[in-house]
Amino acid sequence: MASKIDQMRKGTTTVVILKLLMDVGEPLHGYEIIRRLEARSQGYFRFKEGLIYPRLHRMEQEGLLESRWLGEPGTRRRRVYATTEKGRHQLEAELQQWEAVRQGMSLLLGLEKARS
Amino acid sequence: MTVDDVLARIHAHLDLDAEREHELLEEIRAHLEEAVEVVRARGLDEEAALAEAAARFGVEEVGRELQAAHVGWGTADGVIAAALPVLCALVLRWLVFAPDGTAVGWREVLVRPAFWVVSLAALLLPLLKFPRWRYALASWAFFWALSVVFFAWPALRW
Repeated sequence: MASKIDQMRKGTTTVVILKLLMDVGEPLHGYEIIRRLEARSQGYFRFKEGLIYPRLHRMEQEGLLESRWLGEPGTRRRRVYATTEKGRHQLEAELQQWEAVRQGMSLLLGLEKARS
Repeated sequence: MTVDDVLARIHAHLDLDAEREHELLEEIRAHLEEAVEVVRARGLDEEAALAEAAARFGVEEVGRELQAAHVGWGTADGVIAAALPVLCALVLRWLVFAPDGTAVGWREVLVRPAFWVVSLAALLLPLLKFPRWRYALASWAFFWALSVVFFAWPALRW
């Protein structure tokens, strides 16, 4: 059961990162993204912190995010990430899918009554 | 144990170009330093704080995942960087030279739209494809080097 939940978490990482960055409205670095996701999910969304970076880099390769460095060379520079237009479109599409899944599963599991 | 020791463990899993590895490790260094500060604020000493931060970070697993995320990309881009200027130079060669190697005059070459289309494509395609503009410029320079050879050596056959 724990393994299945972990798989679900892995599958949702992209959409939760996009949603967080859209809601915050400013670029964030990896550490800040991890902290805010944990806080938002009240501890539910927690995994090895460093794994955020391969995910962020893949999202950037896919064109969903763009990054830039903050700070001068020789100081503690941070790489911050922001959504792209493509990332915003993908987020909209995934949120619609999630809503459809949520409604369907709620009905099937009897968590919600069907509207007559 | 120091932050450099942790980064060395991650670096051991990486086999990428030096610039990319440097950027990855710099990004992770900032994360670890900030994580250590947060843990130290709870009262732990430097070494214990780093141990906790490294455990939460997932050093070995992250090293493997970073390698997997970046390795294929570099190889494919290297192939494109080599092949694209050659292809564009060959197309340009066939546009401005007759198949028997007879050269068209320079003035006529410069007024041909195809010359400008191919020349711009040889620059714009790498600029759009590669995240680092200097790779695109290197590709474009290679294209012109080949084209100059073809222009200056019209008898060159293949």
